[in-house]
Amino acid sequence: MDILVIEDEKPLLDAITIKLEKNGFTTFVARTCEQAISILESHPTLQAVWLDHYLIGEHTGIDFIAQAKQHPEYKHIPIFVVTNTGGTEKQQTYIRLGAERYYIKSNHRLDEIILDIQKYLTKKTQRS
Amino acid sequence: MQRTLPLPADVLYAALESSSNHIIITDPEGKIVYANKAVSHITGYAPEEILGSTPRLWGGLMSQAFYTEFWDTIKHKKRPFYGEINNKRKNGELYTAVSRVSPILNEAQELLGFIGTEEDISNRKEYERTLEHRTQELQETKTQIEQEKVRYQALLNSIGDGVVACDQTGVAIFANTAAETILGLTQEQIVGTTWTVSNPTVVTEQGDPIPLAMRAHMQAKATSKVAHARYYYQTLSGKKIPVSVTASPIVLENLYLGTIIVFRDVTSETLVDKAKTEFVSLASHQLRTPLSAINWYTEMLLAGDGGPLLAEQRRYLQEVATANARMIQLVNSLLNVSRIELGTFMVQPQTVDVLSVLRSVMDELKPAIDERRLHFIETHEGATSTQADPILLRAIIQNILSNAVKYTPEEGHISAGLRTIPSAQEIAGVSVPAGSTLLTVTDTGYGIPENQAHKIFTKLFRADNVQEKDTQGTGLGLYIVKSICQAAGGGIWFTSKENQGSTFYFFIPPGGMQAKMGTKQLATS
Repeated sequence: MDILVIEDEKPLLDAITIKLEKNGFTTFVARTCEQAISILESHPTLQAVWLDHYLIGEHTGIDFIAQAKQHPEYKHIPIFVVTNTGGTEKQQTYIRLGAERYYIKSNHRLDEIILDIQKYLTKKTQRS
Repeated sequence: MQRTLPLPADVLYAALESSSNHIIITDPEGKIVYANKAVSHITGYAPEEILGSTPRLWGGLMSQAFYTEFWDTIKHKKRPFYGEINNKRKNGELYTAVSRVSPILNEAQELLGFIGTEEDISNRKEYERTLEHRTQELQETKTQIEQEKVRYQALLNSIGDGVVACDQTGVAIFANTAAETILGLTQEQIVGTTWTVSNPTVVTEQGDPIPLAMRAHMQAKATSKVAHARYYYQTLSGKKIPVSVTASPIVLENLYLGTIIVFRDVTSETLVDKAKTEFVSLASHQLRTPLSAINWYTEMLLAGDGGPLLAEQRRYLQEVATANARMIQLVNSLLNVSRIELGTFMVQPQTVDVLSVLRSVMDELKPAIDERRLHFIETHEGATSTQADPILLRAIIQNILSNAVKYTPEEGHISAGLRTIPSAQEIAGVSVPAGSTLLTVTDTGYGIPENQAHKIFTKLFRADNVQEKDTQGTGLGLYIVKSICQAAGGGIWFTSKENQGSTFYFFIPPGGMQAKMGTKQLATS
């Protein structure tokens, strides 16, 4: 299972990728919106995206999801937003733009989020 | 015609006798040959004492110069005298009279005698003196009042708060300098207009008009009590000024005479407050990133992702994880407080089964309940669904129940009862409307010291008796609960006895929570 992790904080990015790989994922990482888009374009095998709100550079997770969901090739890829920005407005924006789930980092364990992603992907595989 | 009227002498005599004025006739030397009844009446002397005597009997009190001129006028110049003179009655009483003395002359202009009339004007004199005295008193009082007015005006003008006085109809009758400055209006623009119908308009932070009945001065009028309010005055130029308003009714002998409105521009206070809250919000938010790192790495270590752990290492890491979880909870609470204080949190009511929320919180607390070997009973009766914001409802129930668990010693008892109130009733001093959903949580815990009971809902307050027993409390929980109740409708209160236990009551009114627009949800713990 290929997953793209977009997260600007290095220690968090490391923890996420280690835990994902321990759970059988192959991870691709990006710390800016531009990197993320280019990985999206060059890796058609991606099955999920793990997205943070604040990124390095001037773009945020909102810019990424807006662009990703515009492309017919990528718009089916589920995006899981994992951020510390708890504003309802932002949360609603992400959901409106097509995010699957929205997590507050400090309030969730890594294995909880990963289990959710796995369940989602299993269901999706069963459906298709 | 009157002059030619032929009057008999006896009629003329009767007229003289019945006159209320004193009338005498003297010979050229001043010896009295006739005195009417009024003379005896006014002077107090009997007719026999008067006749053959001179007017010196009651007079002679004026100066020598007066008499010299008096006699010169009537005797030598043969002209009448007219003037005020001072006399003395037989009983010694002094009186003032208007006197007229006319010489009686024959055709040869020879002096035959004098006719003197006197009118006692001492009463009139007394009135005049009294009147003069009163006038002087009034003048003094007027001066005093004017001085006082100037003094009070100076006093009112020297204070920084806006002061406006209204009469009973709500028309402004006074405004001080600060009121002019704050409102950007002149005295003339304020005084004489109804306070405050159009200028300034009274609005919320969002600019929505606040109904007249909700304003401090109308509440003061309605209740005859001092009323406080905090809202915005919007001036003609559209500028919104945050003000803290105090309105005091003027009541004299049960009669409402008007209202004094004192208001303070709280712009800078509001800014400082907002900056502080924004800082807390930002700081808390920034703290979440390192806390997430600690959270996730300890999670991974404990899961064995970094290799097997020794029992001792596991125990230490468990402590790190617990402490970190508390830190996250504290940060969440601080964020909630900042959202409450910034007014940005929202209330989104929907149909919620309170019982299921209660049970889910109980499940969550089960490990702590078991650890302390507490006896927990839940009861409920009637319908338990209502309109409520599930996140806020959960936060409230979680706070009340976790407090009961935290502050009840081992093997104590806790009972949580949920019911619908069939008819309006007073419960522990608070009137609860019919149809409300009421949660009652009773514990056999440490209780709240009586002298600290009034502070229990204030921010960062923790009662003395539990500070040493439990170091985990933040002093924010009940403050958040109270704030939610204030914003969403509903009530929270308690009864408590130290070392015996507490009962907390929480109700949602029959219509459910009130919706509130906002930009943020409260963080769940």
